[in-house]
Amino acid sequence: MVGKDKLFALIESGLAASRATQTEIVALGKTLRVIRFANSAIHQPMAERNVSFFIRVLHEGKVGFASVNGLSEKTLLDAVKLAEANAALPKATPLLERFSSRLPTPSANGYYSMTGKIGSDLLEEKVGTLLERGSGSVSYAGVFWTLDAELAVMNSNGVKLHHAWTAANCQTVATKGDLTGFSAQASPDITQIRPEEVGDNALKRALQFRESVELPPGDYMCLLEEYAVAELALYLAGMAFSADAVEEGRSIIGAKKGQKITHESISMWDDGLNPQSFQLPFDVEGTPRKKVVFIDQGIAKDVVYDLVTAKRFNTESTGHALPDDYSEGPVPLNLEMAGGTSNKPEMLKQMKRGLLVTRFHYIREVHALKTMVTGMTRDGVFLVENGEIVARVKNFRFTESILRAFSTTVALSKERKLVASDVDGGFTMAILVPKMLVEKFAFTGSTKF
Amino acid sequence: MEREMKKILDTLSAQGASYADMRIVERQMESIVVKNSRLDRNTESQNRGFGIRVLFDGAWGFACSFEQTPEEFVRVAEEALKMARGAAKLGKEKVKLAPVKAARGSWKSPCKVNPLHVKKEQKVELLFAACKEMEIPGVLVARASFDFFVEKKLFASTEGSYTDQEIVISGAGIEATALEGDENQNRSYPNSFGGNYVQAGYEYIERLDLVKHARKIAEEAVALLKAPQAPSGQKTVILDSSQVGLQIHESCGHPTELDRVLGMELGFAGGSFLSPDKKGKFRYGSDKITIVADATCPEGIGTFAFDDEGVPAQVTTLIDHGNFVGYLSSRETAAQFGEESNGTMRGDGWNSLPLIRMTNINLNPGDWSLDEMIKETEDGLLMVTNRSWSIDDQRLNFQFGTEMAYEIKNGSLGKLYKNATYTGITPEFWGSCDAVASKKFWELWGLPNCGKGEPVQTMFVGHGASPARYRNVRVGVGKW
Repeated sequence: MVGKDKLFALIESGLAASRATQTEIVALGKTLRVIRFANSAIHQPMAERNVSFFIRVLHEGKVGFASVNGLSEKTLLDAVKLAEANAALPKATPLLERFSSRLPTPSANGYYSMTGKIGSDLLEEKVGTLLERGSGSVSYAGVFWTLDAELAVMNSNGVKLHHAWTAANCQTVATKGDLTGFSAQASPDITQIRPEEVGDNALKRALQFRESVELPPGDYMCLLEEYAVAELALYLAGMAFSADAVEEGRSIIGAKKGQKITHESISMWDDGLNPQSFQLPFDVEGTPRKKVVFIDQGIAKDVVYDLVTAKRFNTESTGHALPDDYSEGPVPLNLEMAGGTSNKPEMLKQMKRGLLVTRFHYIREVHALKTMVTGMTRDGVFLVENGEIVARVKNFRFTESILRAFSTTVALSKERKLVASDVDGGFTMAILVPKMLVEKFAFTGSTKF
Repeated sequence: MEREMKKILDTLSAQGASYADMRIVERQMESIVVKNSRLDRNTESQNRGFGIRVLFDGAWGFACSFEQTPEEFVRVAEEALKMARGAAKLGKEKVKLAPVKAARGSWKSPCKVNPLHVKKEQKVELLFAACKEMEIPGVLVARASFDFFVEKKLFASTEGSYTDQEIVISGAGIEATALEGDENQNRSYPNSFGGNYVQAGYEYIERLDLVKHARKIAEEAVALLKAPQAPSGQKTVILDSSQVGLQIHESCGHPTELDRVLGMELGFAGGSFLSPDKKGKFRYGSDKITIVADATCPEGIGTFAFDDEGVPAQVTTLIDHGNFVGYLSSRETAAQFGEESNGTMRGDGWNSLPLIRMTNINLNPGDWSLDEMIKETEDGLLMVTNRSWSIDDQRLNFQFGTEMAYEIKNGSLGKLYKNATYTGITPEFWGSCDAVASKKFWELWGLPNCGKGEPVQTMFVGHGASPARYRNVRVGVGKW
């Protein structure tokens, strides 16, 4: 970690050098440790140290942007000049009147020193603990990563904020021949992650049955494990939960605001202050993160905004901006779905005939406004009959509207699980979701594996 | 810089590393987006740093940093070595590297006009003009964009390699989104998801003539709103060149990556159905299908002179008249088969480990014209410009959607359809290909966002393809 004082000092020199009426400088620092393993051996251990600066200036409402990495003051000042030139372009469009003002920011303590300070040697040891669980019966492939990150935001309106946070994620696929199982644990606090449990759970799932049976595609009642629910939630968010999606006419929330769009048990929101998640109390514009409800008991509610989209929609920013070279619009980073009252054994009991799905793979949108996506099952699909898991099933392709599937919700688990997205870039998406039992999920293709 | 790099690498050798390499990479990127006659995005980014990869006792370690100081060089080298030592304790089989001659040389991709030196006003004006042409009734969003990328890379290894490369990539595209009620439809030119990317300068942008194509794609987007839903069933499908390119990417490029085949990507991206026993024996497609990995292809964004292990760029046949004959390999994976690397290792910038990546994976042209293919189709669909893509973790079961499709009835094009999709199993699908269009129809497509690895690395890869025809394909998937 570079540290608050050094980052603030550099940013202050950039602000002082700017000739623009308003200037905003953001620093994102990270130390990332990644241990990738495959064939039950570490094959790609890596460590990265980086710090990036994102500069925006305002000139008659026009925004100029530039970014650089490194701690050189000269490089930073050159980037400030570049941002100034970009804002002064004759064709630049007025997008904003002012950057954020200083507002009360909620406190958040998402930094766990055991996560932040862990060395590669200790992380490799933890991976070793996981690999031992296979004891020759399965082969493991996966990753254990830790992120030690800090965000500093200052602007010429007096905003001066710093936040440090940590994140860790351990996940693995266990393989024996054609049989695979998956497990993962994510937390801001690495001491909460049990690599031996991750290994054991994936192993149990891989070895649950010795063979897979082939079933025809069609509509099945499905118990979706948290990883599968998280994947669907992630894609729904991308298609529908941002102001950009509303503007582009591809958001179901924008198209049907205030209307019932799915089952009344479905509520989804973003909460950057939930300590179970990777907390981020403000965004890169220095706006405090608000809790934003996307779907409330099945009703379409709202989306996330940054300053630019908020002005366009005549509303206030919800504090979901990312740097311009990360995203073209605001992004919900801390997704959540409400749990219910059920649990896995109860859900299984409710299934006369259906499928238990561990996770999905390679989901892609087919039609955003209809929330239609396609993808594959992966690492464990099981047939459930009369409440019992009776067979392993070969993988399916699905082509389904997420909200149509959610509209057939039968039960949600009370317990929720944190699922981490990829750690690329430093802003990690965290998704907190329950297990979900749906009456119908449309599988449109079967496989021989 | 060679002396400083050599000093670090020599130190690593002295500490017991059997191999080490170091890359210093500097990138400059410019992205401009005009949306609905509004300059929506105007970013310039610069990013630099270095990465050191160490092989110790048969295990890898990699560390990297933004800070290019002698002290940080030493710290990062020590960290990479420490990780490799730790990994070696938990390793099973020791990594061996296929031999390669020390590479020395300097290379720059051809570029007539450096896009970063073109006045921004000129670029922005062009995007505004293209957008304006798309702003017709029914179009909700008119979007035009440029992406420019310049990368300078130094590479040195303990085996005496020292290379210096610079590549320039230019990309551009326009897209019209039409909306009516619950229906929204997109059309793009020259390709979807940001357009097309080539290894060239601003001269490519002028060649594209975005303004000329803008009105047509806007009209097509609006027309799609009223178009009927694409039919379901088994049909003959003709894919346009760009869709064939993506089909190659997903169902040939990825499954021929030897690291996937050997289980090294199983934790995330998945494996491959093209297991080693299939090489030279497996019928991948019809005899019309010959696919090569060409890292020397002019303008291809997967073109270079040396990969990130110092292996020279090569042309490798992957599929020869339908037979599966070759993989994309690295020094580590090739050594497992007693072969030499065919030079496909690339890392995404300074802060990523090199992985096996597609170069330009190209389908050799056939001898048909598009008209001939249509004329000889009784009942089919012509599917144009990708909209959606997905494939399983073994690269067998795929599903694609295109922005638009035309009915083909008795040898003629008919109705325009919306929401067209097709699905299949890789070898069955390529096996059903009975016609590939000629060199005249062959185009090179650049995908700037091929994802692989953890953290996900995005890579520039190319695909050359002509339109091709496939028989008995399942189309119209899902309930609409």
